[in-house]
Amino acid sequence: MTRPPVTPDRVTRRFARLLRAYPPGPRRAELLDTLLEQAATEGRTRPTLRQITNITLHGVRTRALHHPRSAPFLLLATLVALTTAFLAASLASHLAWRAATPPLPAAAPLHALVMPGAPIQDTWTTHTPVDTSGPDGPEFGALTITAAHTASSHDPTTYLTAVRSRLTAAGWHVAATRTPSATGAPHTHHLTATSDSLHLHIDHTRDPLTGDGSITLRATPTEPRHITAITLTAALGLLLGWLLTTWSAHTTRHHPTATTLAALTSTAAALLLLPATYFGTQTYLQHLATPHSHTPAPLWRHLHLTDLLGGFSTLALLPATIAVTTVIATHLLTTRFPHPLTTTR
Amino acid sequence: MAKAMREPTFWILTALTDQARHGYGIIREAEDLSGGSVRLQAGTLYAALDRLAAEGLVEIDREETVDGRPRRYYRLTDDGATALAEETARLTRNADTAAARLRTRPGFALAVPHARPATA
Repeated sequence: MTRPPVTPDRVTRRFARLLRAYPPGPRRAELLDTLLEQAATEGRTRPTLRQITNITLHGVRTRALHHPRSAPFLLLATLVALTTAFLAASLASHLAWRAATPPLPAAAPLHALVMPGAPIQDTWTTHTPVDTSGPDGPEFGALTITAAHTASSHDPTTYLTAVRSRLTAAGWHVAATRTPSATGAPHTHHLTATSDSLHLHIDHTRDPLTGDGSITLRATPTEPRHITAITLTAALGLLLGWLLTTWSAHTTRHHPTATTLAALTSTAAALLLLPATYFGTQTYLQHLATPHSHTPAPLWRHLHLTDLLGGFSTLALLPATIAVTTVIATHLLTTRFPHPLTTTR
Repeated sequence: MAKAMREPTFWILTALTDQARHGYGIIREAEDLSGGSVRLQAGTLYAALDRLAAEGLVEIDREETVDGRPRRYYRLTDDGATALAEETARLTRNADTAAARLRTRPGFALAVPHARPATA
């Protein structure tokens, strides 16, 4: 079956669609003329991949630079851009984290390393990601081993010193141990260690009077590198926020009420998200900059309803919705009833 | 010292030396003059034209309507011609220096390409 010939109108529409990367204005028409003339000379009916890339990049660049020069606009656009960078990175990080399935370690080598000879009472694993959003942070899954004490583990200091030596010799990075006063449990000493792929939490609990207690080992995979890469890449949502604010300013420029409403509500949304953005980003970057850090620092921590700042973050939904609705409604109305001063394409 | 001109800019200005041209006219002329080594993309061309217009090196000559679409012609300004002449002198000096050095290299024969014939 032969394809019907491509009509000139269809070719024009193909190139015109590509040129929507540019803001509305006479430049679109000028570019369309250039691209169509070039396509006709070269006998093409659609843009090349190189043209698509070139027009998209220059169009986005033009849009990003095509904004009002006023200080309030620049302040608002910066605020919105930082917020969208944070939200995009949080969302990407959370989705990547939920989809990740890092392998759990085998129990026997860890038992031999941390509690050699101690009779195992229980071993269990959780493979699915668990977002506790509490002080322990999210986990990709965990291996937990509980063992009874032996004569060599009765004294917590002696026992943990020996464990520390064995872990260090095996290449683990051991953090400072915490005594009962620091762990909050009257008879529990705690030790944490990190390797390239695992966090290790060891609890030594023993009542000196009754002798009751056990040793618990909990191994959780560290954040895989690809999730860190995805999170940092998604921070390019910065550009999206900037472009959205620029587009909104242009869309509502002939409608002062819409401009004021969109500006006020988007400022309110960004300010309500500011605590989560600031503290979430600060903790995350600190975590990235600290090798062998034990404290997981998910970006989305303060977006949780269970978090102290989560309430503020959730409240932002209302003004954000009003801002988006205002701009979209103005866009639809001005498309249908163009303002006499609006530049046509 | 003036900053070296980027190659696409050099060829855009060169393409406008003899007459005003529109977008695709500049693309074709630059490709032809550079012996096919410079194939300007439309987005790159207009970004460069905007910059050159802001610097006063090119300006809009006239606007025509072709097939219902506006077609804008650009021309080189006197400042543009001066900037191109300065860049040409700089490139010539650089080429002469390099050629003189290469001639002193033992056993190395410098191949000088034939000058491009002037087009009508």
